[in-house]
Formats: sequence, structure tokens, C-alpha cells
Amino acid sequence: MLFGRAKSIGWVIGLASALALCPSARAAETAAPAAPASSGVKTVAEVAQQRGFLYYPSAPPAGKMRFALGATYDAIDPAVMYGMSMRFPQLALDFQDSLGKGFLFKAHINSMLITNEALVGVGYNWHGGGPWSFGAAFSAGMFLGKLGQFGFDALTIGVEYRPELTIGYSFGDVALALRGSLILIGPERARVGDLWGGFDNNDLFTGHSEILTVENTTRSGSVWYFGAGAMTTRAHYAFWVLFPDSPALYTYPRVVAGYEY
Amino acid sequence: MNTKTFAYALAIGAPLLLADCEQATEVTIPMFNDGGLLRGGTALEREQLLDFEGMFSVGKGSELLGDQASIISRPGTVSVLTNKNAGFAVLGAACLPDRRVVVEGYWQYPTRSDAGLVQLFVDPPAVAQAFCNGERAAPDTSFTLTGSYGERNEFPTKPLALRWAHELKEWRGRFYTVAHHGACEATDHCGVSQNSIETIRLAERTGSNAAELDVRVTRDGIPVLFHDPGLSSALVRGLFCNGQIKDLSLAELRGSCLLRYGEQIPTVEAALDMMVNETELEGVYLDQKTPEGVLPTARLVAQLNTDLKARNTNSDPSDDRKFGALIAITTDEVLDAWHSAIATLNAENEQRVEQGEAPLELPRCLLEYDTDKVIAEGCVAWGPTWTKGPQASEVQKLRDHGIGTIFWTINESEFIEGFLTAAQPNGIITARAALLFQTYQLIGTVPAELPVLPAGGGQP
Repeated sequence: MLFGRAKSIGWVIGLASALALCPSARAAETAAPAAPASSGVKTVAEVAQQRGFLYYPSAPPAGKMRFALGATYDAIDPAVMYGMSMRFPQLALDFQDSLGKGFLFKAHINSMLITNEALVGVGYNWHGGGPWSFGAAFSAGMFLGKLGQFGFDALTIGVEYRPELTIGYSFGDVALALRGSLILIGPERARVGDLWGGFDNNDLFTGHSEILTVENTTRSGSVWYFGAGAMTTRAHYAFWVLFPDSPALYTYPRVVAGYEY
Repeated sequence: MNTKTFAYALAIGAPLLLADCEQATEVTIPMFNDGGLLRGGTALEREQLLDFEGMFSVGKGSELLGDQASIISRPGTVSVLTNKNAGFAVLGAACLPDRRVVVEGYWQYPTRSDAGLVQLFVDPPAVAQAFCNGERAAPDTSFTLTGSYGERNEFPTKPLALRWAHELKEWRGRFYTVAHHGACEATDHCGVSQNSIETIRLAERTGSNAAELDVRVTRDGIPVLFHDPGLSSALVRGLFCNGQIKDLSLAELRGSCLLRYGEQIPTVEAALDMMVNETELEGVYLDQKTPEGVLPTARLVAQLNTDLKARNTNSDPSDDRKFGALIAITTDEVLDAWHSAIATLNAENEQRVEQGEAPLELPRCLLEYDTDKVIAEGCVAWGPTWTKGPQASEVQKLRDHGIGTIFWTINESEFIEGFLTAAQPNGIITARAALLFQTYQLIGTVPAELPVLPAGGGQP
């Protein structure tokens, strides 16, 4: 019911945004690339040519690096999580290094202590002219979980792959990016006590996410961002459970926020 | 609306359009359009269904069942159990007017949406004739079930043939396949809700011989079966079904809430009555989620133990019923409540004796954590979580004290095999009963006879 209400509110906000969009968007298109804002805040075009953005596809010169510290919060009804009464944010660390000509090296760590994801990969970003830009990336790494308390002596480990596509739109000093990711994990192995084993429902497909982010430029060239989206994942990934014993999928909202140095 | 406001609104609003909760599972239990052949036949007697039990080799249809499958019988049904995708088939058996015996029903892989119909016939004809004559037919390697299976509601056309290979490893009263709050997980496709009367009935048909059920107490002190403290859409439905179990009376709970698939939230009393009188389950593991539930549950179990003892010691052996109910102690707070409950029941028994009545048979306990406390408290079983591993030395220590072990909750093939091999427990709680039953039959060791779920009352 909670999410049904959220869905209705989403429609209202979405429609209102769409009604208000046309003049603003046209203005943004004709203004691009935008001139520096009078406040001194750098434009999206300037930042894209300097250190680039974490989400908005940009192609900075080779050797330009970006480091970001953020948090993600999954809005899951705690009652669904069998015994958990609260949900806390996960830490997100990102690093990207431009290889030039639109190519990027990317590294990402996501951690809520019990379950952790560490990925490295490459991306290619393309500026399509005007305010639009596009990106594709592929990362691979580890899904690692460990718990030695609360009745657990367990560890799980799996190989994770994450292909991503991003479409970006510049509003001058604000960049909007919609990123779709596939979350593929497997095979996973786990240890309980001294016993290792695999899982019956060890399908590679773990879920997908669609996150819309807003990246705000600053005078220094750093960027603060926030965003939200939908995660659709298997239950164990959603609930930070170490063992994937069900192929059932859950859809839940995710909010993200952070700072790009 | 300026561009920045628009971007913000879109980022916050648009994802909410996508937001939903758990994706609804499609549940279709296949049925024959015309009711099948069973409708025109005469159902076999309960004792005759026992003759179907055994380990069968799968000649045709191994893509559905693997190379071997167990068949067990239950009142009115026989069940085919496989370790392939934890699959099971629930079948009825009847003698047809043409003197064939049909075995018909549906199969299902519970973690997926795969399901279909099954129609088999008993061979050789002499065995079918014996069944139709109301006789027993001791199985041997000539006993086969031949026919077909299909997908969904399509009439079965894919060949399926099972041949009796050998008797089942001893399981009744020895190894407990304990249904994890019923036959299936909430995310499965079984079409029944966890902790419902209906799932208990399905549980024994999918290979369980005991059930683990979760106990909470309503505001008016009635113990009911429910897992979570609160009423969430994952487990219940109903426009006004909100809040905490402990804050609602049974009437309010029943008036506002149905379980996920439309069943009523059962009381512990109704569930015990159903299990004893309508199933052949051998016991129940009553998982005490709160200390408040211990005394009212212990009272119900004490009365049940007393009634069973009376049934099992009277002069009529036909009403004997072996069934054990354990109070599962999950925390030190529940343990304190257990001490208090036993003291209360002892005091009530003293009053009963003074009034010339027979005392009630005290319930017995299972403790889920400290093995030393299991021994000190005189519990009959230990119920450790599987997430700490097989803990074989602890299992053996308790076995040396005459105490059994039932692990919770293992649903994975490799880990079921590992625990059966390393710890040789007396039982495992699982939501994959068919998988556990078949794996026990293939690689398990028959546990020493321990009074893990002893029938009737009294300390073991």
C-alpha cells in the first residue's frame, strides 16, 4: 500500500514535470553550451571537459580523475525483511580515470558491511551534440558477504558483472542522467561453519536498476549529486541475505546522494 | 518551473512511477478440465496407498524427476518426491470401472512457476486387479506406474514411467523433514500462505512429517500462527489489516486480515487439532516468537498431551495417535517465560490433584541456542541455525545425552547433503521437503531412535 501511494505521487510529480518541461527544455537546448553562471558555478560543459561527472556521460581529457563518496538507501518495508526493524544506508565509493577519447576506467565499491560489491570496468561516453550525451560501461568484480555474529558463521562470495547504459541531459549547471544497469552475480559459493556449498537457484540474473540522478556543479568543479530510481532484484540481494535461495524478484525504490571530488 | 526545479522533480518523481513492492507470483495449480479419471473411479483405501511407497527408478520422464524418485503415501494421496528442483507430484489413486488403477494429479517445482498434470496407471494388471478387489499388493520390482505428464493444464502427453526399486529408508519416527512454517516459502508458487492450515496440509503431501510453525499472541492472549510482529503486505491482505499482532484482538485480526492467499490466520489450538485429527504428521515445532506466547501455548500442548495419552492408553488401539509438540525456546526471554509457564502448570496440576482430577502432561522443550542449556533444561532437542555450520561435535555431544538435533532452515541441495553427511541430525527444517526427503533417502543415515518428537506426554 505504501508503494502504491508512492506510485500515485510519482505520477502526479511526473506529469507536473512534463507539463512544465517544454519551455525549459527548449531554452536549455538553445542555450547549450551554457555560458558560465553569474554565480560563478561552473557549467556542465565546463565540468565535462575538466574532471567529468560520475553519472552524466562526459569525456574529460586523458588523465583526469574523479573520486566520489556517497550513500544509497533502499526503501524496503522493514517488515518484509523478516525480523529487521530498520534499514540503514550503504556506503558508495567511486573512482574514474579518463583514458581519453571518451574511454574511462571505473571502480566502484558498495558496502553495507555484511554484503559488499567491488567492481572495476571500462566505459565509453559520447556527447551527442546539444545537451544530450550517452554512455556505456561494463564492470566486473566481486560480491562478497560475511557475518560472524547473530547466529552466523557464514561467508558468501560470487563473481559480479554489471553492464550499464546511461543517457544524460544538460540543463546548463545541472546534469540529469538516467542509468540502467544489469546486475549479474554468479556463480556464488558460501561457507557456513566449515562447510562450503553452492546454490540451487544460482541464476546469473540477479536484477536490474534504473536510477535517475541530478548532478549539481559548484564553483570548484566538484559536484554534488542526488537521485532516485527503482531496483528490481532477487530477494537475497534486496534483503542483504547471504544465501540466494529464491529466484523471486522484488522491486523497490533506491535513493542515492553524494559528492564528487 | 525552471530547469533545476524540473530536474529535481523528475529525479524524485519519475522513479516513484516504477516503485512497487514484491512482484506478484503467478500461481496456477493445474487441474484436469473434466475432473480427470479419478472422478469416475473408486478411491483406494488408506492402507492400499501404503503399498505404493518405495524408491522408484525413473525409466521415462527423467527430465522431470531425475533418475530416482521416492513415493510416500498420505491420507487420500500418494506423493512423488524428487531432488530435481525440489519437485513433487501430489496424486490420487482410484480403481476405474475397467479395473485399471489410475494415479492422477499434478506436479510442481515450487521455486518456479513450472507445474503440470500427471496421469499414471498401475502395472502389472494383476496388481491393479488386487487393488480393485480391495486387497493389499506387496510391492516388488515388477510394480510400475506408467503414463504421462504435461505442462500446465495441458492434457499430459509426455511419457513417464516409474519402477519400484526398493523400500524406503526408515523415516517415520526416525528422521524429521520439518516443514518451514508450512510447505513453501512466501516467494514460492504453491498457492498457499505460510503458517496457514492449508500449507500444513500441503506440507505432509510434499514430504514433511512434522511442521515448524511460528507463534505470536493477540492482545486478548490467543496464540496464533504468524511469523512477523507486524502485518505487512508480504504476508497478509486486507484494507484495514495494519498494525502489530500483539495490539489486535483475535476478532479484530480475523475481521481485518486474510493471509496472502486468502486463508484465515489460524489459532495454535485450531492448527494442533487439525494436525492431530486430519493429518499423519508426527509432530510440531512451535517457534515461540515472544515470551507472552509461551504459557498459553504450553497450556494447549499440555492438554493435547493429556488427550493423546488417554487415546493411546485406552482399550481401543484404532484411535491411537503418535504426535509430539515441542515448545521451541528461541531466546533467554522466552526461556524465562518457559520456566514461569512450567511453574504455573505445576501449580495448576497440584490444584487438579487436590480436586481429584488427573494432572495434565507437561509439554517438552527444544532450545535453539546454547547446547549446555539444552542439557540443563532437560529439553529433548536442540534446534540450531544452519548458518553456523554442521557443528558435528555439538550434535554428537547432545546425542550422547539422548538429545536430538533439528537444524533450521536448509533449502539448498549441497548444504542439505553436507549437513546430512557431517552432522547426521534427527531432522532438518526446510521449505524444500521433497528435496530433503529424497536426499535423506539417497545419502542419509537413519538417526538413532531418540525421543525427539515423543508421542503423548511426560518427560522422556
